[in-house]
Amino acid sequence: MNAEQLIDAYVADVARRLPRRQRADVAAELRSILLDELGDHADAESARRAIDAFGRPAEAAARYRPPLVLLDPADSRPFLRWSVGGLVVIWVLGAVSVVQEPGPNPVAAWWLGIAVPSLWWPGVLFTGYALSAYVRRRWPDRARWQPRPIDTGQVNRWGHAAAWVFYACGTVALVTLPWLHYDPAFHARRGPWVLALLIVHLVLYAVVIVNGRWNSLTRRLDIVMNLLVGGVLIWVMAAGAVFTEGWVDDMVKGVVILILLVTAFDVVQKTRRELRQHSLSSST
Amino acid sequence: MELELRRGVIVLAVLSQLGSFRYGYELRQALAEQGMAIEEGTLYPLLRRLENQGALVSEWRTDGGSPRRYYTLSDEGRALYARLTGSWKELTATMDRLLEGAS
Repeated sequence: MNAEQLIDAYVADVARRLPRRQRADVAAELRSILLDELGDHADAESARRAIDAFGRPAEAAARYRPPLVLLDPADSRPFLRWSVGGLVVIWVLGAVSVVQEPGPNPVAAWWLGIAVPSLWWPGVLFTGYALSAYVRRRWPDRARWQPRPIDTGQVNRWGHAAAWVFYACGTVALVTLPWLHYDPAFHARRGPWVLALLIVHLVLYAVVIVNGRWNSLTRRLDIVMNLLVGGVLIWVMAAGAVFTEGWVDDMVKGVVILILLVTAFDVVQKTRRELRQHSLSSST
Repeated sequence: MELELRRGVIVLAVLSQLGSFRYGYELRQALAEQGMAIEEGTLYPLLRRLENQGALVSEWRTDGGSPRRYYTLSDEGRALYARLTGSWKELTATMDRLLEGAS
């Protein structure tokens, strides 16, 4: 290729990345600029150097348009953290399910059935961050920082009492409903532990409702209780069936996995809050 | 660091040289001769963006040679140039005071 051919090819490559109404004008100008830059050295090597100075066609075209930022730089680290964290959870849970039901090629089953489809997670996260960035730019007043409400530990007694009654009725129903057929092994060994923990939890929440607020002791007891519940639920699931009917057992275990995830998140949040409070009170 | 420092003054440097019509390469040469070398990939798209923002106006001229796009300040660009010049003078005065105080 001679110098003019190189320049024409480059200009065409830049122009096709620009909006249609801008193309002809920018292409004509870019061509004249590159020829000016070449001056009297109209050989292919000089043309190559002049083109390299402008950068890849995509970069050159991007400079002719207003910058477009989909993911704010401030969101990049949280995006990466949540993406990697979520992918690790999906991959590990997927690996466990593949190990539990091994096929002829477990690696391929994990790769095609878990790893590749798991890319929905970073995609959803990216869309969420991009939308929130758009909202912040479009309505900056709404994106103004607001202080978090101060946590005084007070609880809404009526709301919590209603939730307590709901959970108490649920516990009674789990014990008394005649059409729930528990697995005999669960009924004999694991069931009583689950019931005991549910009752202790209800007592704890009753104390909080009567006091009208959380205090340091009830908060710490709550964290310990949640950890115990998590541990017992994992044991309950790993040790065998809970219900005699297979489909009921599968459905309940799915719900228990959800409860475990929510409990883990709750424990992390509450522990962080306690540690923060502790460091604040020890520093004053 | 130096690059970032220079990036902040490129617009003002360009506006300062466009009191009359100039084409891109001529402007780049003029800036380079006065010690303000600007990469071609930065300068030419900047002229376009300034034109889109209304600070510059342009027209194609041939002047006996190949056609070139010539740029100059618009009325809006002149006002912008005056405003940025004022800001620049305040900034350099402040920086002079700070640097003198530090030495």
